[in-house]
Amino acid sequence: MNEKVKETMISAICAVISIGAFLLLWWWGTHFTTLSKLMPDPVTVFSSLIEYCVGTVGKCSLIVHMLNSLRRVLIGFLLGSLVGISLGLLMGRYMLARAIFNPIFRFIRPIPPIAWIPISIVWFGLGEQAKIFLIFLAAFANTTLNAMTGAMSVDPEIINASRMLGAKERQIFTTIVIPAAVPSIFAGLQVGISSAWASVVAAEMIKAQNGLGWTIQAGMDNNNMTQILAGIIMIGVVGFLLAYIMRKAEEVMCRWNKSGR
Amino acid sequence: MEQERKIIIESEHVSKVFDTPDGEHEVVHDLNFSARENEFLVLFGPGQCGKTTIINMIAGFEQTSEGKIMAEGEKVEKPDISRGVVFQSISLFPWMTTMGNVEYGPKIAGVKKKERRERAQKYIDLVGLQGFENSFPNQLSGGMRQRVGIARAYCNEPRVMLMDEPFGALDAQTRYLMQEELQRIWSTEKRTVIFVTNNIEEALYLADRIIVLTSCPATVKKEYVIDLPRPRDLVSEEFLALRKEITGILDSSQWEGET
Repeated sequence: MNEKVKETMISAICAVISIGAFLLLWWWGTHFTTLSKLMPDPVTVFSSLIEYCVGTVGKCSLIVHMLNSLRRVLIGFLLGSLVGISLGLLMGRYMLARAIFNPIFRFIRPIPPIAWIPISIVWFGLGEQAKIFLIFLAAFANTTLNAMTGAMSVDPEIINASRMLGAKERQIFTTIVIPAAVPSIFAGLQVGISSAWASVVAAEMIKAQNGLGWTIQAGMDNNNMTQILAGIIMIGVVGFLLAYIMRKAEEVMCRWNKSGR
Repeated sequence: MEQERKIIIESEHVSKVFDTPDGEHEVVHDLNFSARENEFLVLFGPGQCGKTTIINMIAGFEQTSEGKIMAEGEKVEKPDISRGVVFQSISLFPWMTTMGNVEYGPKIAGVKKKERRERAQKYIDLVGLQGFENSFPNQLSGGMRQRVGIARAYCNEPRVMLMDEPFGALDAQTRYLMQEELQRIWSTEKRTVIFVTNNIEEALYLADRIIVLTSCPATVKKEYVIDLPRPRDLVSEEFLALRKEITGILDSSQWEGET
């Protein structure tokens, strides 16, 4: 336990030092080199960031932009991972489902979500649906394969154990295959949430009235570097938090999967 | 009077052939034996002689290539709750607690929560795991895990318990302890047990009857009725004499197999 506290302390201190050093370098660069021509100094950026949060960027505050992006991501991610995980589990357990869907899926998966932007605009127009469709794809592509692998790699002896205890096929699927695949599913959700967050920003940069993607796009249009940087920082922070929440959820859901106490 | 008891499991001319890249490989050949009600039957044979395959066929996990296994007059074709299995690999459900594992059988059968909890608790107590109801398997030692495995199989109240080298993965000390425990559990909760092992001491300590199997392909070499009083003294003269005799025929059977 003591060792663990020590480890956490060391990484916390190192994090503070490395971020501090980065900010210092940025500050130094903007004050003593030609970097000042390219970007404002960190103090300006961070004070603007706070101003944007309490004040407005465009029609609403940065917080509201962030919430708009978050809403799109959560809807798309929820739908995409739900479909992806369900399909993946079925493909993992049932050879026929795998034979039917795997070829199409293998083809679709490597296509980056942003490549779908033109199609999504043609199909869904410039509204919310197009953006949610992109996030849906990002989440779907990243969760299916992991769910499939998880369902395929269930220890056959554990399945035998459930059978001798009386489990029918449907019960094997719901009480054995699904929980056994959870760690693998979470691996997919981790990548999926990051990819979904990246996709929403991309989608909003094409055409949107709000959102963090809009914020940086509008910053570019108005040649406002401070606004771009504030938007980027917000994107980074929220992306970090989403990944963090997902990791914590995994820790709770997969307690049983950790070795030792 | 031993012979009067009802036959529960019967293996009739059972053979098992696996297709391997090197051609057909027969692991069980014309195997005939029966297990009677409440009998502790030990299948004893050298390692890698198809013993696990025999258990898998009785359980219904695998099909016979020839012959058939009868369980209370019905041909075994798939797993059934009347035949509980304790695995060498233990194979608990790792995401379930001790309680979750033990009550799994009654739960999927739709037994009401209160009733199945009581039943599970009874078997958790029987295997001596009270206080560990909410532990996950990865928080338990190997011996404790196999206790959960035994309780899980017992909790479904099967007619027959199939045990495939259940203590094979445990260290010698724990193994010895678990043999005593199993002997005690079996005396409290009488069941027909078919127990597979390659450890002669274990076989002699637990068995009413020992069927000695030949090395690959497995078939019945010889049969011994063990009527020493229980719990057995591992160093009594009779025990040691039997041990010597059975080890002796095993050696020669392996030797024959090689010529």
